[in-house]
Amino acid sequence: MAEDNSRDTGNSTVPKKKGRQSAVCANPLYPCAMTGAASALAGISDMGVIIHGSSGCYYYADMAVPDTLHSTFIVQDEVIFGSADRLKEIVESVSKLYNRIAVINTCVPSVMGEDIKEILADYDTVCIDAPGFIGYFDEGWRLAVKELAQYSAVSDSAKDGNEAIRADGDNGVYQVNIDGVCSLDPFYKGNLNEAGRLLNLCGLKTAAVFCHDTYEGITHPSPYSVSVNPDYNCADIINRHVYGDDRKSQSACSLLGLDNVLKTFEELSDNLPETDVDISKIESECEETDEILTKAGDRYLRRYDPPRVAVYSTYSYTEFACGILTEYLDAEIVHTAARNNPPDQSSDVDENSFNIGGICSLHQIKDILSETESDLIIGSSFEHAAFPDSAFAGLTFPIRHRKMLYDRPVAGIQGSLYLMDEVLEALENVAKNE
Amino acid sequence: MNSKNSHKNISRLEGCTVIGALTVTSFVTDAATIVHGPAGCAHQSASMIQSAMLYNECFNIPEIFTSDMSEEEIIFGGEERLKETIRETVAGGRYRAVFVIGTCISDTIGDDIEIVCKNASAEYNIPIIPIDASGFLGGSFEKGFISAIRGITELIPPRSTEAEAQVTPAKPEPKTVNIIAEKNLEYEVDSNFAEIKRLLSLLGAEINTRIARRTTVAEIARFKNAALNIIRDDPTGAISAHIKSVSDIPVIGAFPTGLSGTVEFLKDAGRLMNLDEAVIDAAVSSELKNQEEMLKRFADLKGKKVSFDLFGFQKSDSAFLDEIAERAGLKIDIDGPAIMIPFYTPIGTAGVKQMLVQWRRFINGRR
Repeated sequence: MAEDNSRDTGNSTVPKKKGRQSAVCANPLYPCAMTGAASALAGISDMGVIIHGSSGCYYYADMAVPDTLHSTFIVQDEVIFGSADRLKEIVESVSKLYNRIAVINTCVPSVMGEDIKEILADYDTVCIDAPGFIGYFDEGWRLAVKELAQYSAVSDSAKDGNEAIRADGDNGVYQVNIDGVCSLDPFYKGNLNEAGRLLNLCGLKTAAVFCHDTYEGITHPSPYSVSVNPDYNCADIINRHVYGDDRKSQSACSLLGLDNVLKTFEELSDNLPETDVDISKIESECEETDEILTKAGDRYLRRYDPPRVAVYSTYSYTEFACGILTEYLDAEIVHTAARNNPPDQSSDVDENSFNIGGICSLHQIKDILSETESDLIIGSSFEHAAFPDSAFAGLTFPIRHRKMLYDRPVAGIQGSLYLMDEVLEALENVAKNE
Repeated sequence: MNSKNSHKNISRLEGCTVIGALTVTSFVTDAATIVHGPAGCAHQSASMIQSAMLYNECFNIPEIFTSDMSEEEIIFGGEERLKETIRETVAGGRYRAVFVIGTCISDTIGDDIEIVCKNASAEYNIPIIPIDASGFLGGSFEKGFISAIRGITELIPPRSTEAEAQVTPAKPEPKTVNIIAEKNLEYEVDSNFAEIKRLLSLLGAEINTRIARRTTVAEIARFKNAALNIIRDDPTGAISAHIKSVSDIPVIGAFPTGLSGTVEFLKDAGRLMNLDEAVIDAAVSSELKNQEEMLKRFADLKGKKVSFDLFGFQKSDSAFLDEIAERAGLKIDIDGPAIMIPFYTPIGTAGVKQMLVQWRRFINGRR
């Protein structure tokens, strides 16, 4: 069998960046940088996103990203004679539909060496060079957010601080950004609903949603944020541009898992300048939920041994799933790896208590799991397809083996309940069939 | 290179050769397919295939390798990277053949995939076959599909010379058939195959090999044992022409469409396999009876009005739809409910039956 490693195998270390130890990568599990940039920008409802590339590149991105995308659909002629005319033609026509335009470069136009910023100098466009060969999804996502930050408003009133807390008319209701909403994530809508519900519970309103908002909303955020998935946080990058380095905005804290939910709202309550943020409803709901999860776990463990679990997802989801399963089911994490790098790449390796490695190839996961006994796999439809007889819970893009018609959360209080529910159902169904 | 060399015949929406090629090569179970490009490119292609397969309730997702080109290879060339990828892929001897599919980026930077494959094939002593693809620069999804069919046929032992043929004349097994160029992402791919198999069984014929639907390299190598080749669909004639160039086995260019089309298919298949007239007549009369029985299930449609909405239909020739309507006792009338026709042509009598089920839902206003 060919050795296969598209990234650090790294079971003992957290992968810090994309690296290769071998020439072969089989069934890569995560999309390219172009898709990442498209996902970030297409979430901005009044921004038209144009993929500057071929129909093949566009079709995939269009399938993976739920928001509308456009494309230049370039063909060989443009590669030979230049794509400027075609690009202008498409920007011209798409401009009629949106207030702003973003253009994302794919592999071939990127190496053609055309300066698309120069070509589009007469148009108000955000240009991102995100060819697939620069890396995976997250690279493109981050490039797009950084570029977007350049366009964010920097005003004196914003730097003052208080004015930037977007009040709801005269009511003085504080607004908080919801961060980490990534449209590639099958749970993004459920997460968004849950985060909004939690903010409501303590009398707060939603400010900007990153990246699922209007251009105006995204570029005029509140300095305070909560995050449904810290891997895709953007608020901090944008806020640094809005407020400058002299005024420190608060980084979005995670809503993954009950402990994080509590901690995030406690911090929010402490940080907001007034003291009338009432988090008591969140506290009592977290307490009730903790009891429900404890009972559900105990009930399972009265009949079965603690499950041996393999977890494959994006970093923060992986950490969350490992945490909830060890806490309530005493699970043994037999193997775990993330598709992407941790959100805070400066974090100490020792802090990674679940030994989360970095793997982006199904081939490698198949090799490891065929030699590792597990009772449950958490991952995407790729892992499910590779081990169809195993108990399985979907947590990672793509989820195609089942219908996803209603919006499920992974973040927040409901997210913890959802994941535990899925896990217990999967484990018990397999146990019953045996 | 791209055949779309004039602005007049450029279609910008035809998809990527890589995915078209992968839908063929990745269904050779003991061959590896390497996409020579960035990992994201292979993910995109694999993901599209996986998506279609899971939709079709197929869970055995093919393994697709990639050379995972990075900026370094884009600048300095990717041939060395491809060589390493081939070396590691063939190590361990799991694969009997390797297909290498180029992408638009490897084509743009000028990597010579053909030479790399030729040298590697000699070094490792297994077929390493370059597929003429090159992403969108190579044409379209369909072009990639056809290129892959061409590539796979390189696994068929070469045609005998005249002298060799005199010493050991080819002896095809009578009543065996090759099925060629099935659309592996088609929802009905297995049911269409089952229908063809059923029809051939009426003639006493069996399947020799499928190119390629979960087929092994050894199964492809016995291609020439068959007495007849049947192609799934070949609107441009390119696949038929190529298949005729690699063997003398007679070819039927498409799966049967419609009721009389199915009967004609049986007659053609029997004749091309040199079967007795009596065998063919028996198969035909059995199928005609089967069709009558099938139509009885739709007796409630008799006298009802229909019209056809041909938007998006694969074939411009829709005469067989009129025939089906007539045989089912339907009246074609512009005032009748407009029936959406499925994108892919229904295959054989079984396909007509499934289509009539859908028609009934339209006619009875359930959709």
